[in-house]
Amino acid sequence: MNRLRSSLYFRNVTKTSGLIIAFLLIIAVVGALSAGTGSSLTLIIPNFFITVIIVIALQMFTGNSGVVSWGHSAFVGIGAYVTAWLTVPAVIKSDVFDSMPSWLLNAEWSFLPSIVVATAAGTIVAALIGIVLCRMKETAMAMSTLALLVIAHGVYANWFGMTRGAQGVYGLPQNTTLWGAFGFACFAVIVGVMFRDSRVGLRLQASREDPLAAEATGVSVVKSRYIAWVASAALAALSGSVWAQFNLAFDPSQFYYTQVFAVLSMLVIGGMATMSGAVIGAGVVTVISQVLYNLEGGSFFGMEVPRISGLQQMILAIITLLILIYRRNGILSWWELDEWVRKGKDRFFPGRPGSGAGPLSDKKDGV
Amino acid sequence: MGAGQDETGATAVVPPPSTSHLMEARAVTKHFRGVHALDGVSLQVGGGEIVGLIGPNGSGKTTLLNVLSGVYAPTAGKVICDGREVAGFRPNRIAHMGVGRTFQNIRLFEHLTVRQNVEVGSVSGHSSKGVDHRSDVDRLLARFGLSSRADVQALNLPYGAQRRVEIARALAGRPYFLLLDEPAAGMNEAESDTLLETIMGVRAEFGCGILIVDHDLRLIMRLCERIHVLAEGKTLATGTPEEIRRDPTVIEVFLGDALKDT
Repeated sequence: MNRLRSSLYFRNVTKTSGLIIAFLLIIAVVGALSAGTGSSLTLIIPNFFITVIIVIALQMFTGNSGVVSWGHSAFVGIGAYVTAWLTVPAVIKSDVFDSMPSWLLNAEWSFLPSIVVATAAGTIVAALIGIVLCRMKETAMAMSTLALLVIAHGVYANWFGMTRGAQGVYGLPQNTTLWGAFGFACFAVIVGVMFRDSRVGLRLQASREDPLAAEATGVSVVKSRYIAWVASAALAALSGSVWAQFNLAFDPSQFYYTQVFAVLSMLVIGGMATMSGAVIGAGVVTVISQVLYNLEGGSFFGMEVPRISGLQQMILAIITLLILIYRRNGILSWWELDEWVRKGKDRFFPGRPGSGAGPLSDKKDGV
Repeated sequence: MGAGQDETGATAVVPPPSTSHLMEARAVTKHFRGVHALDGVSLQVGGGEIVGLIGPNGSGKTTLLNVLSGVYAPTAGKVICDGREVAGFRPNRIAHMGVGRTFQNIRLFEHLTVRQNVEVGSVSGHSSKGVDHRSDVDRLLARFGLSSRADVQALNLPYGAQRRVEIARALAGRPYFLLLDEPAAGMNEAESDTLLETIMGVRAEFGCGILIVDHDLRLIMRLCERIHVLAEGKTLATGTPEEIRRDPTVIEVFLGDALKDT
């Protein structure tokens, strides 16, 4: 354990992930209570947990390395399609997948094994792509992830025999439950926090701040980025698998720009540098999207709100823009939830040890 | 943090002073699109030795430091670190061979805490097997008077403290050689005197050879055993501070009056 943890002096894995998990648990309990009431929460809450996994996957790479990835949805897609191949009942499979090899036609895997294999598939693809990708300069790398997204979408939309093209896939068994989604979200939080505080995570953050100084300090920027890339793609594929087994049918457009933009905006709004930021960003965006969804076609203070497609995305884009202008590092900026709590205590109950450092004393932060 | 307060602890951070290490530039030439930034410069830094590198602006001092630390690959010539040819290696590989450096414009990991900055050096530096990183970092923070600000983001420190973080970060990697690029820039005489003591102390405690680039001749003359003078990318003179001070070409070409009061 000591080898893995390098910077636990200030940040604390248990405290940070504990507080976030407590937050998630409250939401899970609300979800459990709403079961059977016909409330839309029974759909929204598990999907929120799955979204948390995706955002954390992206945070692991983009948040720590500072290199934007537009391509993580490609891995979510890999996770979803591989899961479909493994879990859709044989009867439906012959209808959905024209050219599926016979050994795969009879596969009717259960929840956990299908997730493991789907994650492994995403990991292998990321490991191969990463060899080339991680040697690039930051901007070239970001552009290449965008190319990756487009290529992956091309495959999903045109490999008709295995993906049913733009019509999409259906017939997956509903294996993901509320608590299953909650469990994987907690897993993602712990993995994310431990990764950030690991040596690789620390080196990667150093390279985000200053790649040249990091190299001169002995950091192999390429290696650090590669490890993060593969690990975060694995988590993205896992989220795809869990997601597919909750939503049961999907098509290629769901792993494209709309998702990429939604996930990136969550990260930007919450704050890229922290796990709390990723989770809170996911929460804020989910709530805003739902409010807007309910508003569309209804009335707002007596005004008729028309149902305009893309209104949600547009307002989300505006909020993202405002955050980038007025609070560049996101709602939580550079500090985890537990650090804010502790610093808040120090401010209101001064004179206790530990005061004087942290978010509330760093006025220059983020300027 | 208590363990880090005693001075004696600091010496255990790196191997004792050693003269068995040698970093060498042999006839190093570096061209930038026809501009001859360096032209056949040879220089040696031994373990435990303090060497000054001086010269007017644009004479190639920082370029030489960048070649030695792997930021640039030389156009021609060799860089040899402990008998191994390292020209063209990435900076991280050279750092792994025991070369630490600071930058002319301080380059810290700004949004990481002071402690994390030093930690990166400790866990990424050379020969990290069997090293107790946590106590090493604590000692270095205490040694450079940074313990009380360990959890502050580096960008929120005053200038002088940022300079100290940079040196602590470089030393955390247990280097045999430390390359300092204008550490006294922007310092007044008193601060420069403190820096002199710090660098002397670093050599005594950490045993590394130090190559220092600076315009502060008062500092360089008192600090260094040997001085290397560059002008327009070429070696103008090398020698002890006394020899350099008396060298007519050095005085004539650019030092002028600056040397008379040192």
